[in-house]
Amino acid sequence: MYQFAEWLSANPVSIYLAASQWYIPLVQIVHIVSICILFGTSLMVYLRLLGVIKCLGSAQRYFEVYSRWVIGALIALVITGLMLLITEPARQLLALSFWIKLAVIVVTTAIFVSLRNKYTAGESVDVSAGDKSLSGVSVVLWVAVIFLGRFIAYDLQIWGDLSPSAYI
Amino acid sequence: MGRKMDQLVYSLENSAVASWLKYSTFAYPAIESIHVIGIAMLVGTLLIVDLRLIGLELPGISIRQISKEALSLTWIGFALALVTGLVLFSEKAGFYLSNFEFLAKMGLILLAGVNMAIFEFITRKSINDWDTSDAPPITVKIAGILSLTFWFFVIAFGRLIGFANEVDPLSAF
Repeated sequence: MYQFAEWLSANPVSIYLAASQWYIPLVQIVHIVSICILFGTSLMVYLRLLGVIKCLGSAQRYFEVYSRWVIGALIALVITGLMLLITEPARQLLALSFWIKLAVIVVTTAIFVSLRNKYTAGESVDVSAGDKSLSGVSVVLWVAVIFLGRFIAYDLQIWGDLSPSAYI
Repeated sequence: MGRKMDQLVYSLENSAVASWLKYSTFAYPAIESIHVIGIAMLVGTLLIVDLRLIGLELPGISIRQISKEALSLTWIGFALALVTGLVLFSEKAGFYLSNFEFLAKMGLILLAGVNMAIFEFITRKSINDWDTSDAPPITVKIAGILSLTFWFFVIAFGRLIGFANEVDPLSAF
């Protein structure tokens, strides 16, 4: 992984972008704005499933209104995440927080998509206790993703010997 | 900075909270993370209301209802961001008070607050006329556009604080 990170950081595009004063700050700003959109809009859906809010009506309506924002923000996060990865590969790829973050994102996205498919297909009007639990778990997982994203910068400090960066 | 301000900065930077941030392994990353969660909750839910005010989202939905629903989360996010922001500020108060990006961020939050107050106390008085309208009056749209703009730049300057020692912010303009 270290060799891959070294190879990636040595290519001309990465060198050019990393040297730019504004590339990383600007991409990070778009990344954070996308986190805001994802967290805010998905929270509305999860809170509807949990029965806390219902101004728009059914859970199906909430998915219809907010899904494109959640999915659009996720796509923007993947793109900006990759744009950051090519300029700072070692910082990300050698961080345990980064890999756990990726795994949690995959799981949480899979839960969101499965709930969305279920409720937009009109299979269920009432929200089951299981789906309420999944919503609560999803909120916790998105919070964990934000924590892990921040922890990348402190990986060695937080994880100690568990961090791959401890072995370079 | 005046003498009283210097004393305030000194007491903040030497407070128990600041020491906890400096010497704990997890405190700083954890507080920073909660700060991001607060901002994400604040901006992510406010964005829904702003886009409705502009007339771009949620056609036909009562602005009064969607505001009530989303803005309660916005305020929770604001409270989280404020408390964690004060804790982070205490650790390097002197640095922040002389940092352009931080001062710009605070100025923009103030402007966002003024914009919200004008909307709440003046524009909103006629809400019965445009509550469910898909094309709200221009004053309502402007309030939404200004809110989105201010909060976008709050995030931008917030992120740029982290690059303060490396980048001259004014060189971008």
